[in-house]
Amino acid sequence: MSAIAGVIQLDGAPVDRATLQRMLAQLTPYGSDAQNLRREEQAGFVHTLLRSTPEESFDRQPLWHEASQTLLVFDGRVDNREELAQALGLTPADCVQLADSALVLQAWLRWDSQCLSRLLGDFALACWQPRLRRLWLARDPLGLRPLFWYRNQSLFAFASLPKALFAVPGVPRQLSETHVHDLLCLLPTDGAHTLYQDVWRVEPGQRLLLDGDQLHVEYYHRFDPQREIRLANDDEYVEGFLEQFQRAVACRLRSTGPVASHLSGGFDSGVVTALAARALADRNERLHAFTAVPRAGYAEAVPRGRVADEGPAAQALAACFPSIDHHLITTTGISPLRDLMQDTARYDRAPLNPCNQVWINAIEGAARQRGARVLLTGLLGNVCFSYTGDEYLPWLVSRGRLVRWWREMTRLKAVERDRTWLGLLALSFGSYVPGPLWQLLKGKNRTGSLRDYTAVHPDLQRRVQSEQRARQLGWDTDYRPWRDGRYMRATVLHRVDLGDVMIGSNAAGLDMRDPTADVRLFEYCLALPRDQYLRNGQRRYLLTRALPHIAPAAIWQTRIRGLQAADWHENIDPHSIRAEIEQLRAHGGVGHYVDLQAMTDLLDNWPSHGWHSQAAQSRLRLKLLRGLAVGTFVRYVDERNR
Amino acid sequence: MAHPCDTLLNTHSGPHFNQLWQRLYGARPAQWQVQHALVNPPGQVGRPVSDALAAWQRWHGVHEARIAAALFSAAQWPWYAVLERARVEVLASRHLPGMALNLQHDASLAPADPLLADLYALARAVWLRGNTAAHVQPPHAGRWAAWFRRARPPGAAAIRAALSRVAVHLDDGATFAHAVQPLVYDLAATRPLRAQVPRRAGARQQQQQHAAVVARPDAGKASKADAGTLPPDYGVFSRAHDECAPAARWLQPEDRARLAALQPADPALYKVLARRLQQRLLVHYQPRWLFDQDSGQLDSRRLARLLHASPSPLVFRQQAADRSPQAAVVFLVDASGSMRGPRMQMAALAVDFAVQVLELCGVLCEVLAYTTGFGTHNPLREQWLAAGAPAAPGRLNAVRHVVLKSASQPWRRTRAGLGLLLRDDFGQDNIDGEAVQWAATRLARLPCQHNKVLLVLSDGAPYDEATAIANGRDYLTAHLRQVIRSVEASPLRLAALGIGHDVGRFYQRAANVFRDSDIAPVLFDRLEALLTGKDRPS
Repeated sequence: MSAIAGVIQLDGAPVDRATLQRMLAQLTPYGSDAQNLRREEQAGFVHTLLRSTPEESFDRQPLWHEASQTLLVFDGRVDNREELAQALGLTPADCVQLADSALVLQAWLRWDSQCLSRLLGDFALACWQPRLRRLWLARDPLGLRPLFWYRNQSLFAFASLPKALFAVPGVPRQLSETHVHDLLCLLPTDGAHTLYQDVWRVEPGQRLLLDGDQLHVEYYHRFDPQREIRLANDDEYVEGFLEQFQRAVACRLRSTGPVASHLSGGFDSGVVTALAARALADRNERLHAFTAVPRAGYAEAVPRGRVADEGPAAQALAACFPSIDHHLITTTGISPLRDLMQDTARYDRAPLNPCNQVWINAIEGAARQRGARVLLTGLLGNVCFSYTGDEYLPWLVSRGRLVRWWREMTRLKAVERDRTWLGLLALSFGSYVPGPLWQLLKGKNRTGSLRDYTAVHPDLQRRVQSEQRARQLGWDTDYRPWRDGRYMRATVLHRVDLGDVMIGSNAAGLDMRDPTADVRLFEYCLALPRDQYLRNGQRRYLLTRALPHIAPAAIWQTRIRGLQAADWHENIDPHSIRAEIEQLRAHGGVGHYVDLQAMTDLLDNWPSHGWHSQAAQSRLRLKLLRGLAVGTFVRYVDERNR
Repeated sequence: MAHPCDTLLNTHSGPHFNQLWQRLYGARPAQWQVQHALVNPPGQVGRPVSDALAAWQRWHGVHEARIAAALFSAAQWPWYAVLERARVEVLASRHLPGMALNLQHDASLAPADPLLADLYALARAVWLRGNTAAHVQPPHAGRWAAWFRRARPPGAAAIRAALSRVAVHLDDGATFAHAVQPLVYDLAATRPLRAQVPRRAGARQQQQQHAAVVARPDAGKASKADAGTLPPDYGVFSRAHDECAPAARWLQPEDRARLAALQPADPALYKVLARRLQQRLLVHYQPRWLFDQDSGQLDSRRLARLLHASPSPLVFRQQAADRSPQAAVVFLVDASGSMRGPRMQMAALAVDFAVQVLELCGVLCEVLAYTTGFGTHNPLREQWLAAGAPAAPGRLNAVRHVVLKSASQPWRRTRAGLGLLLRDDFGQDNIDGEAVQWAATRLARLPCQHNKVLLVLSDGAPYDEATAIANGRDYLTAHLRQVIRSVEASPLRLAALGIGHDVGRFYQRAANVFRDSDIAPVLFDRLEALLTGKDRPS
């Protein structure tokens, strides 16, 4: 994996070498194994490399093809190397010493920008054709590698992270008030906008063409919620899924060192770990699996259906696979505030969940300690194969298939006895109910107003007009159910951008890979008929049938819904939070965005119990800690002395 | 009486004679690269230009260059240089009437920058013809008038008066440099130039380094990428409150107590780090030996010579005495308010141990700190407001540059100054550009042949609230970038340690630490890399 950057002078001036060197220095932590830059007459490119695949030993970027006058910088991994090589007429022997970047260059030379549709894997790239004065930027359909850009009259610059753009003189480092507001209010990313004014992102599945001084942007890939696959019988759906999933896992096991994996008590990381362990065992390799657990003896009451300690469930699964070395990770004594600024600098944005960041960091550290280069995860499982299928009910209603709806609802009630009729009706018809009425119906479970669970400053809310802004972004602040699960999942995919999370792990010396974020797997799962996810009251119908093919069925009975970072409150001292808030207050700029007084009020009412209630979660983890994270981010960008 | 060559050369022309004349009259090889930009001659070097160069060679010697290097910064240099040019040309004109004739064509000799050209003409007029307003009619009177209207002191009369006052020192370049210093400072502070004029290369390497630091010939050439960001007119509203002094000036007994109370949480770690750095530096700076000596340490490899029929006494070896230190390091510590607390304590401890090690290894070392004189209560801002808040007033705070340890002082005598940094109310804001320039100038002057390292310990971008409000947030940042650019283009090694904030967007060599406890390990690591040559930008 790499980090890339470049500058194109639009005014004919030579590119400043010192600027490229600063960009290189900014990206070096994300590619500590090799750093190179190439300076042309009016363009310069930067590449830093973290060698995580064997073929990357042969990576010599930036790549230059003399005959076609084409330059490529590529950050990523090609998962369909054989398929691509075959299409290019390369033999396996030709590919042995061919880095993925070189393969992509050959594909580019053959198919020009159309090659993007042929690439499978996580990537962001830039291709410069000086003869035509054309620059292409592109990201993979799921946006797993980030890419940002900036343009003014004299130059165009791009980089894997905004921090490298700010090494270019003249690129303003100014926050965008509206988008900081969105971050605080948990609103989705807004198109190509970023948290910085005038700094833009290439969206997932998008290609950008700078042609002379003209800019063209288009999607070369979008997930289509209309597409549906019809197979002969249910077993074929399962077979198809297993085939896709095994491929998605296997192609992510190319590594220069041991492979590690997140392993919680849930389904997503469980199936990823299980399949990876099986594939590695075939190669006589081992898998390090890491599970974050609270301190021994932690006994705070947790909500019904949730478990504080995921260790036993994870251990049960790990025990089924002799090739797994299972490690329990505790973070006792590490405050979520300790590394807040460091994490902010690493991701170049606010960590969204400071509590979880503690164990994420600990697992990354432990994996590196054991020499791992690849860390598997399962971030998108719940919108991919482990989707519950709940939205099948409102979809049936919307289609007028009321008999089928009634049958599915009654069976769901029979299988999940904890569910209430009112809840099922709310799920089925909630999307038709006006927002305020929905809040009323939810009673004590209502989400409340934005200010109940976010630290957004009331003045900022007024300036940005939060409700209107949310509507503009297509976001329902009342959190009513969706009418169609397939549309919901496609929308979530289009909104989510995991690029900074992925590149952030590079700074820890790891290449984070997510088999649940495989484009072909996702397209397959998205196109399955809706009843493959909810059938006869069985949620996750597809996964339930597939699981026995992955590990003994009994193991999956123990899957639980974990409460991540359950013991966070024991590791944080209200006095340290107060000191942090005072520091933010003294800054002078943070108070423009974050309601520091409301956060102080929360501290004044610091609870002694009930840490895992819905209210406590909203007030403390969402409002207070995310407020601190965003405040730290503001301080990171807007450097002052007080 | 005319110089014989004067007569000869007045009857000849052409590049060969011009160069010959410069060698003859200047008594030193011509330095075309530097002189070219300084004199700004037309495409073909004619007699006036040749004479100007010859005059510079003859009358602007090493001594003058050394004095000027010590007195003037990069921004001030062009103003000094143009006055010095006027001086040497006046002297040459007095010396040889033929040169006076050639040098009277000041239009072809004038610098490109109109403001410098005007000052050049004015100075020559004052010094050649006497200082009477009636006699002095500088060209571009309209522009001068407009300039005087805009400018704060010095005004037109003040400039003439100053020029008149220094006329008595024309024969003594060193005294002259001191005499024009106030005028040059005021001009540089109030009037920005279009481009920097390259500084004269000194006779010694040290001066060459200095010249390169403050204005390398290519340092002034900003690419167009930079052009939009360079501060169009970085200036200073007032220098009246600027301070640059040893720490003793501010030091109080409580500061010493504060320093005495400062103990590392893990003393063993510091000792390990210090010892490791010392070992690596000593290995790197291995002593050079002179063999085949007739006294010194016995060289066992040459003992066989004593058994020879005619024994040789050259069986000893001596350690070569290094005349200059192996390296010089200047620590520049950001003492702004955001550094206070544990962050500054850790930084102070790390610097303390590092300086001790460097002294042991024979590395020249300076410890400097910088902040501003005013915080929220800023009289300069009030003055500016009282003056009607004119646009773009420049820096609106007073810089405070503190010398905690100069190269000639032993650390044991100056260490107490660290206590100043630990005082909570000492630091206010940080104006990094001027501080880096100041430190680089000091470093360039240090008598060290090789490795000169400037290590900045800072917690982020330059910031002064009053300046930011009046000039825009990027004003100080753009100036810092400009200064860094010129220092990085010089032989000095500039590196930065970002403490709690990322400074990599400014410096090519940068490391960031976010945990206070990491400051010392990273600082020692960087020092080792910088001093052993392992740290090079790609």
